[in-house]
Amino acid sequence: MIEVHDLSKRFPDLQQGEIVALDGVRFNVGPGEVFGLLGPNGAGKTTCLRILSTILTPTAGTASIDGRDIVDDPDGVRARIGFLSGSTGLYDRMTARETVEYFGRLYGLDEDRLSESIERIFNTLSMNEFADTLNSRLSTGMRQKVSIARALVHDPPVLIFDEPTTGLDVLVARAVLDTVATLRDEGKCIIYSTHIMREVERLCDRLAIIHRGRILAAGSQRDLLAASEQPDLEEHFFDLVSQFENPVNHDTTTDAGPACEAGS
Amino acid sequence: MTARPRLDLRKIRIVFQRELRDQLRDRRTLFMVMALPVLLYPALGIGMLQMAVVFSEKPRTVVMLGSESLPSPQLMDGPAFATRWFSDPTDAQRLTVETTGRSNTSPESAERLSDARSIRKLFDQRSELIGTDDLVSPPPEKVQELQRLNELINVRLRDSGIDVLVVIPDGFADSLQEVDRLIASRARTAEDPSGYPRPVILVSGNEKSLIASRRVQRVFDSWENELLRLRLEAAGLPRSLPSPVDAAVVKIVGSKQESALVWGKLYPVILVLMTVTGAFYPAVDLAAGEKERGTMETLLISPARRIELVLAKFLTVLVFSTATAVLNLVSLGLTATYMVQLVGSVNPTAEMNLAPPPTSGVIWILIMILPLAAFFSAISLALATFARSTREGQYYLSPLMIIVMLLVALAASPGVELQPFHSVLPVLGPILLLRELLVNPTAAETLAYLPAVLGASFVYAGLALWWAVSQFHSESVLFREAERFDLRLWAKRLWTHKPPVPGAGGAITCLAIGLFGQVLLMQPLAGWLSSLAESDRARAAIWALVGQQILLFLLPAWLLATTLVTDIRRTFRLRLATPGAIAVAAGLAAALHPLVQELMQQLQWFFPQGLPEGSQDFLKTMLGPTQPAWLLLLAVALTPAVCEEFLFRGFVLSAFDRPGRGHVAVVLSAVAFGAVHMIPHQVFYATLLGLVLGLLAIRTGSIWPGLTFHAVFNGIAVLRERWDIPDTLPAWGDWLISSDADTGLSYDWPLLLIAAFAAAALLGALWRWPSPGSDR
Repeated sequence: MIEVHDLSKRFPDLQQGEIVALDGVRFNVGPGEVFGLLGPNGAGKTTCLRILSTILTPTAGTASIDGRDIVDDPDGVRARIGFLSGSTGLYDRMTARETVEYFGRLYGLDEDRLSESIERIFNTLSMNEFADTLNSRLSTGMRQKVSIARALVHDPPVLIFDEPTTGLDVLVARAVLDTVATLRDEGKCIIYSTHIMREVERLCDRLAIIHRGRILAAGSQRDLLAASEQPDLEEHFFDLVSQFENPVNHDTTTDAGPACEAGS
Repeated sequence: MTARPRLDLRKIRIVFQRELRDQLRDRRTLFMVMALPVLLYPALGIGMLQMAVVFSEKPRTVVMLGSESLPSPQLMDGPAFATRWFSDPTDAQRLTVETTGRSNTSPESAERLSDARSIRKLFDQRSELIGTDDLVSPPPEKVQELQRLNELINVRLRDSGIDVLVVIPDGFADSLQEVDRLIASRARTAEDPSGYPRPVILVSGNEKSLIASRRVQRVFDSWENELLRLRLEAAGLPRSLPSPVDAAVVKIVGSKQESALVWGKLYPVILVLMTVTGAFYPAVDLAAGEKERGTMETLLISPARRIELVLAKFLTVLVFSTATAVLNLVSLGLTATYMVQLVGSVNPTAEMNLAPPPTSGVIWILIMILPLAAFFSAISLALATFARSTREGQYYLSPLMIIVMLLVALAASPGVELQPFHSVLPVLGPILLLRELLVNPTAAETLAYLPAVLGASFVYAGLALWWAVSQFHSESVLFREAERFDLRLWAKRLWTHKPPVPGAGGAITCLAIGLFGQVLLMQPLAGWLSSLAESDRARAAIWALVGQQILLFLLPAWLLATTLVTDIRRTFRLRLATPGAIAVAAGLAAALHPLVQELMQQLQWFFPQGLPEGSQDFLKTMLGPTQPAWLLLLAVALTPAVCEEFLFRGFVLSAFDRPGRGHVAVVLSAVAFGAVHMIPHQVFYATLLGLVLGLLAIRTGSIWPGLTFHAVFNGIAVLRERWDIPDTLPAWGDWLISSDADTGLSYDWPLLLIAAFAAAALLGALWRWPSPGSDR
């Protein structure tokens, strides 16, 4: 469903020349799977997901979603993905229902399908109470539900979550995680980026550890833990990052480098 | 890349409807667009009416001494001048006259009268001082004394509250009667009886007193006229004797046309202001606001394409811009009409020419709203997209407003009229056309400008829209991070992180030096030239030209390049060109010269007169055959070729050049090249050539072909002025070139045809020129 080959992104910077935000990233994700993108802030997770959702164009490499190339057919890609990030804003002067209706119409849903889809999603996420309240009056948790509904309205086969629990309290964060799990069970292909280990441990079948634009390690949780001498994912993650930062102090045999293949 | 899909109108409609509804739910927008105009003008109208009531003119105090000596006819009517002496009878109430010898005077009035008497004494002293001596070369102590008296009288007048003091000399009536008697008896006396003392109207320099004194003066004038006519009657002569000509000024303007003149000035200004305001605030909210609230990302991920988003947003802004303008104009028109009626019913004689424009005028206003609104909507949207936040967006309003107001002021200046060149300028064209159309809605010669004005305006709107779309495609604009600006850090970076080629900032600095330097040098240069002997002036001007180009173009570019960038060779495209490229450049110059010459000849009607006659003559002598050819070739061909090419095709072109955006860089550098030429027709001409020169530089990757083109092109122009080519050509040459005493040399169509073919072939070759490898 999602295939990413050697994706790179460089930003021109007049003062510093160039910033490498993504360097030869490759992975693929199948249906019914949650792929975790684990990395600290500024690792390149958001850049990678923005490229996959065609907001940014890659400097090098290719990627396709559900068989559509992100550069050659961006319109086709956008029609097949649902995107949700922790920083996604909502139009304050619209109600929850209007927001979801608006995006549903942009996705080309006819009115029957739209109202059916809205009813289903609003029931699942128990949003009917505030469906006709202006977004500006909603709480953070309610707003995130509206965003989820917005991302799901056209029933996309691929879902991209970019740190969707940022700024949410424990209860709402848990609800979001439950929703992701449900969607996985429905057979969606999901890519989930986060810097929180527990979320990865709970949700992801496979994951990639990303740092400074490179994938340092990738595979299933069990594989990753088996390859390292660390007791848990967090220690392993910390170990990889510090190895990358100070390569001389460490054994270089585990250095996977940018070409680390995360095939299924 | 697959073929671009067509615009999805359905998506544009969905986004447009949402944006429109969103704006209509925004209280700030609604207030700016709807509430403000609907409330503002009536409120202003009421305010003005109230002011008129509160600040109605207070009657001014006139004190008259010696009123008992007034002759008939009756000047006074009780405590005021008789109304018959005023052209507007209501003016009589604006002056109260206090005279001596009235029984029921108030204490203040009595005090004023005594003040008046002391002022009169001072004035008599002053008259004595002036009368006894000639004032051509008065002794200094006398001048001092006079100044002291003047000051004293002025202060007394001010302090006493007397606005105008009228002094009728004693026995004035008797003196007049004496003359009357002489007239009646037709007696001729040896001495002229006109030496009797005359009345004096004294006034301080105070503005209000001056207005009052003018009224008093007019009263005395008409009174004097009547006196004169009575005398004529008494002498048995016609009353019309003193005014044998009495030419009448008859103003024949329809009241509608007159009001059109007023509206013609006022409406375009309001139209421009309101289309800008109506476009700007929604645009900031729709573009910068979207970024600020984090909804931009969501919108970009939706299936709507970016061009569809921009068009939908543009349409929304256009609706608000148009609505604001229409509502403002309607509200203003209705308020003005109501006020006119109100004032008219109270005072039917008051002249008010503020009737609303006729229907045809209204239709023209509505038509002209569209190009203006489209232009400003597109510009505002582009600026707002560039802004990171709504606050930053709002900062861009003032520079936009200042430029727009300058254009509006330019349009309002009486010298600027609707003519071909002005009609295609942004903002100026629509304003001038509307002004004409409001006065005369059906004039054929005005209507002929309509397609040009509308066409140019929509082209500008289209360009601005294209800019907005390209902003929406630019990742660096859409995802600009808020950064903290630190001047010291910035300066340090400029030094430590030198880029290989200059950036846009460097190019703009360089252009600003060139442009402002020219303007700044103009005055001192002209002064220096006029201080020289006339025979030396032309030669000095030529050397000044050489110096100016080196100082303003070459030197700044070179200095900035050596200090700010690392790759001077790449910046100035210094690598050698192939002989083929040089040959193509020289051939292209030779082929394009007659064509461009002919084009400019054909377009002469379009451009306003550039230089004043005197300067043109001077330019002719300066560049004429009296100067040695080598000097002219140096000053007009070689120096500009080197200086301008290094600046425009070197520094500026490299600064704007980005991979895949070479054409944009060529256009920008050509426009900059045009801009420094200042005079409209030269700006056009230079921009045109700048495009060719930019193409040469980009395609060959070297500065030398452009330099060759520039030198050859200008060289031909110099030589063409000097040599009488037909004489040196064989007989068959006269169907190529002809000579005329008035216009000088001109090219005939066979030569133009050949030149056109040659130019087309060479440009084609240049277009397909093998792309130069990078010479980093």
